[in-house]
Amino acid sequence: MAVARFLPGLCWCALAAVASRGAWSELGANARLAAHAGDGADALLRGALGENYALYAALRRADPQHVWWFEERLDAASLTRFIRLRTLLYPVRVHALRDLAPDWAPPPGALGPRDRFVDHAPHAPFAARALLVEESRGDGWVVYRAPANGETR
Amino acid sequence: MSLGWLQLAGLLGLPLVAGIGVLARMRLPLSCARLAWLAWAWVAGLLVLGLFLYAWVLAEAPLARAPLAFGAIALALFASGLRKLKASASAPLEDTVARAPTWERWLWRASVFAILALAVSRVAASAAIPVLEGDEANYWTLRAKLLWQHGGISAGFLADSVDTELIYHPAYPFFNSLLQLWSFCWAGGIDAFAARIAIVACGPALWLALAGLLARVARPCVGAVLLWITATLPLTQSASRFAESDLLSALGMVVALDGWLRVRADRGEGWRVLALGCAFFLWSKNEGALWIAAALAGTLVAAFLPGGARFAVLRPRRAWLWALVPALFVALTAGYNAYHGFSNDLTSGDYRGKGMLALLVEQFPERTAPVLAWFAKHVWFDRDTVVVYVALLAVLVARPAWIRRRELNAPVFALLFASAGLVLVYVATPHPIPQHLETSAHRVAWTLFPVAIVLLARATEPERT
Repeated sequence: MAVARFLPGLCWCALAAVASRGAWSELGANARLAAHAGDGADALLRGALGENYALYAALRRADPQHVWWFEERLDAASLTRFIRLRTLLYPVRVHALRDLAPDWAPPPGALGPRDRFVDHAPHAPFAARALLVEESRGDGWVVYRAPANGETR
Repeated sequence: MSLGWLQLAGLLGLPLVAGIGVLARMRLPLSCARLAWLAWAWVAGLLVLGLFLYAWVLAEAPLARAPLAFGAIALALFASGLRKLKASASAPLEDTVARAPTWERWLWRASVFAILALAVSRVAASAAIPVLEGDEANYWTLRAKLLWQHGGISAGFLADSVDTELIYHPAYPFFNSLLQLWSFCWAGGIDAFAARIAIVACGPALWLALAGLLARVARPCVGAVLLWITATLPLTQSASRFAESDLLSALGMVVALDGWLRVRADRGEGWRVLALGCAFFLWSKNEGALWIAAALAGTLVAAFLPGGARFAVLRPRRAWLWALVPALFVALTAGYNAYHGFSNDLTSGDYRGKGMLALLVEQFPERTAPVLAWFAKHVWFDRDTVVVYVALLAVLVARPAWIRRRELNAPVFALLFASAGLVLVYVATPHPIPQHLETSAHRVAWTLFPVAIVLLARATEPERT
């Protein structure tokens, strides 16, 4: 009798326990993460950006009055790096100079603001020919700045 | 995060105080909702805050002074509403928890408490994660940054808004970005950690609103299990930690459904709660237009079913004045877009020069099957959600009379229409599939899940007359 009386309750509690799977480990993980919230923005960003932190740290000190460009390859990691940094860095404006297929000559105007830096001749490398090279950095990064009025290379 | 405890208290406390004042002025006392009341106050407070900040950025007023100005408004609303709150009376609320056996009451209370603790832990954890990617970073936070950088909706902001090398979707509603701007106002600058605080705080509010609703419509043991199923979904976890607008949409939908069920139960406050919920989800995301269209279509179909209310569904006519509240928020977005010539990329055909209807007709034969298959695999029969959707389907098939219940028929049709509408949106999208499906459809479909569990919970209860 006693079993029959408590069985529905036990079944529902067991069902709730099954449905709450993962909640307890998530609660622990959240608590550990929250404990780091006071570590300071720099430490947290270093952890979140990993190897890209150095580029972020260099670019965030850039002058927001200019638009900054950096080279980028068309692989998934580069694209993610660019998208993350572009948003994070604002108000410093950064654009990516994407690699183009060697046999593809983009028609003038096809690349928007990038267009003025592109040699439109067939087989021409997509190079920042008109750009003023501001600085070269490690890790394969080259950072450029668009020339301001009257500036030459 | 650069915010101290006092700033956090102001960031979260002032909207809540303003919301309590608004609820008092709307004659929605604590006694008419209990658990959900705090969630309603948060919803109302964020709407008032959003309106205030929208006016502030339009006026290009100094953003650093916004907390002080809104503080004065919030306190004035609270002080003037307090007397009304005490004076307002409400009929006792039906509550299945009070009638349940002891073990069920304890299961319910422990579950709600634990889920709230989980939700709060998600808010705290989000403060250690910078806003880096996804729609959160690329649209909503970036727009808030533009507002901060340009000091409001200035010529510079408008120029940057249409620079597709920087940001997309200038036609999106402002609500999410304004709430992130609120964090910047308290932080005194752009803060990649504090940005989403007001938005992720909608997580605990969602559980309060949902628990309050489930406590009325189902047995506590059923409600507890369904709450756990929803709270532990991976999509719920991500929606609760990042400032996508889907959490805002889901919260608004639950509050709106609560309002609708109250309307059908002839409770006076129903229309006001419905207006609050609709305003919230309509200002959160453009999908709100789909949800409201589905809700209106569902109401219409239900009204003309055999035995339906027909045109009596429009009564009392005075209650429809509350539709002006959500209409105001729709008008804000529509007015801004019309004035500046912005349009939604999905409906205007920006990408291919074809409108959504033309694309729907053109792509229907080719895309319908793969899109349906994708939704079946990843949404309706997904490992985590299949229990709820299959149970709902089983009830629909096995007990068709259930759908004729007065208070349920319209939401059931609305859910069906919303799901069908969502499928059609992805059939008609100018973007390639499956990429567009994979980057957004999970999240958007998740918005409907809390509504689905309420309907399923209600289906387990015998009809009340």
